[in-house]
Amino acid sequence: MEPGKRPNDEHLLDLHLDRLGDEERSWIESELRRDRELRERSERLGRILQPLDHWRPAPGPANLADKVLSRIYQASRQTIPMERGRAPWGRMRELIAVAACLVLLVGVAVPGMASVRERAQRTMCAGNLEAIFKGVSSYQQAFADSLPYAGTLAKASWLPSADRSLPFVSNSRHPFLLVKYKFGPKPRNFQCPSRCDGEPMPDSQVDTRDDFACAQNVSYDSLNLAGESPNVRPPVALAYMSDANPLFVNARFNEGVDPSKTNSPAHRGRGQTVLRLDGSVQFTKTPVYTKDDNLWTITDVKKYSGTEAPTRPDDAFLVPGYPAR
Amino acid sequence: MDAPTDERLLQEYLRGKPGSFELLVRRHSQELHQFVMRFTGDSVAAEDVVQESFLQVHTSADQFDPHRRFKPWLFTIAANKARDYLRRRTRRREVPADAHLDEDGDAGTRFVQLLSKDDESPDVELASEENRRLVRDVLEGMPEKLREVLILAYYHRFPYKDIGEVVGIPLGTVKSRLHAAVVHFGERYREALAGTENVKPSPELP
Repeated sequence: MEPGKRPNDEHLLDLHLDRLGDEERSWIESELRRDRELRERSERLGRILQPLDHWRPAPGPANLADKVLSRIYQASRQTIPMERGRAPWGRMRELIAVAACLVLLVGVAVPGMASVRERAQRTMCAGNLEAIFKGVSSYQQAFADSLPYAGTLAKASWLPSADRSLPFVSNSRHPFLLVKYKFGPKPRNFQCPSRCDGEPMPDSQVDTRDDFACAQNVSYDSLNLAGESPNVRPPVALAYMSDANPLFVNARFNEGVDPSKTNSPAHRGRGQTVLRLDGSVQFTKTPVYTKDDNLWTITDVKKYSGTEAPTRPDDAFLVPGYPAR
Repeated sequence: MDAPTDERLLQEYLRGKPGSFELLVRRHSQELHQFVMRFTGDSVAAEDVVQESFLQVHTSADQFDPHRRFKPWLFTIAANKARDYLRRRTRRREVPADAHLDEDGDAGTRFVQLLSKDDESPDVELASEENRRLVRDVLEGMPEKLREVLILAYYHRFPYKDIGEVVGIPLGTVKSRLHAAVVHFGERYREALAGTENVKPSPELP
C-alpha cells in the first residue's frame, strides 16, 4: 500500500462485507489499530450493518428442488424437448418426422373428429388434477408432509352400503380440505369434463360444510385414507387421485367387474387420468399402474365391504366419496 | 474429486448427461429462494419465482454463453422475475416519498455523513423476533434498486462484478448504489428503532 495513504469508506465497507484480499485486509487492520477516528468510523459502520443479520428468512420447503424438477418435467412433457445439442442432420430427421406426423394426422383427423373433443376433455381433466396437486403440495408444506386428512373413526366404513351398524366416513372429506381451507383448487376442479352427470359445488356452500354437498360434486376418486398414516414424504409415485373407480358404482361393490381390465367409466371407458404424488398426471389405458399394483384394489383383497384399507404405504387404492346430502 | 462447476454441469446437461441439471437445481434452489424471499418478502412468490427461473434456465440453456458464469445468470433471471412480481403487486408502494434518489440510486445523505454522525442509534433493546420483523420491514420499504444490491452484497456476498451483471449496471454504479443502500438502510433502521418514522407495517404476515 502507498505510504501515508489512509483507508476510505469504500475500504471500510469492503472490510465489513468481507471482500478484501489478505494484503489489503492486513493494511486496513493495522491502520484501524493506529487511527482512533478511523476505528470509530468502522465501528459505526459495523453497527449499521449488524441488524441485517437478524433477517434470516425460513428456508424454502425441503422438497423445493423436487418441486422444481417436477415442474420442469411436466413442462418438458408438454412443450419442451429434453434432448439437447443435436446435430443439423438430426434436425432434418425431425423435420421429416414432423411431416410424416402431419400426413398421419390428416389421415386420422378427418374420420376422428369425435376424438378431438375427447382429447380436449382429457387435457382439461389433467389440468384439474394438476390444480389439485398444487393444493396437495401446499397442504403438505403446511402440515408436515401430511396428505389432506380430515380424520376418520376406528372401525368406520367408507362405503355407505356396508354394515349399517358401522359409522360411515366419506373418503371425499379428505380432499375437500383443499377447497375448504383455500389451498388452491376450486370446486370446479373436482369435475371431470367427460362426465355429464356432475355439477360443481356452489362456492357459497364451501365455508359451511365439511365435505362436498353431494356425490355429483366430485367425479374423482382419491387415495383411501382409512389406513394408518396419511404422512407421505414427496415425491413418491403413489397414485393419489384418478377418474372414478369402476368397482364402486352407485355406492356398491360390483363384484362382477374385473379390476385388472376395467377402466374408469369416465372418458368413455378408454382409460383414466391419474395424479401421482410426484406431481405427474397421466392418462393411462390400464388400471394396473405398476407390475404388482392396481389402482382400484388393495393387493390380495378381492371383496370389499367398506372397512378395508391399504396396509402398505405404497399400495394405491382409490375410492369414491359419498357425501351426505 | 472436486465437485463439477456449475458451468460444466450446464454443458454436460446440454450434451444430454442425466442428472446434471438436477444437481444444478439442488445446488442453488435454496439460496435462490432466500434471495427472492428477501427481495419480495413473500414466501409463496419466492417459491414460484425459483420454479419459473429454473424452468427458464432449462428452456434457454443452449443460449448460455459458456464464457460467463452460471450463478450470476441464474440470479439475473430470478431478479427479473422477482421485479415483474413486484410490479404486479400494485397495492404496494415501491419507493418511499422521502427516499430522494437520483438516477443512480444515490440517497440524499452521503456515506461520509452517516459515518460521521455523533448521535448513536436509539438505545432500544428489541426481542429478536421484533428486530427481525423491523429489519425485514425496513428492507421491504427500501427502493427496489437499493434493496437488491444490498441483498446481493451483504447476504449473498456477490462480487461487485456479478452484482453489476445481475442488476445490469456498471461496476462504478454498483459501488455507489451499495453505499446509498447502506446509508438508506442505516437511516431508516435508526428512525424505525426510535419509532419516529413511518416504517411500513408487515404486508404479508399476521
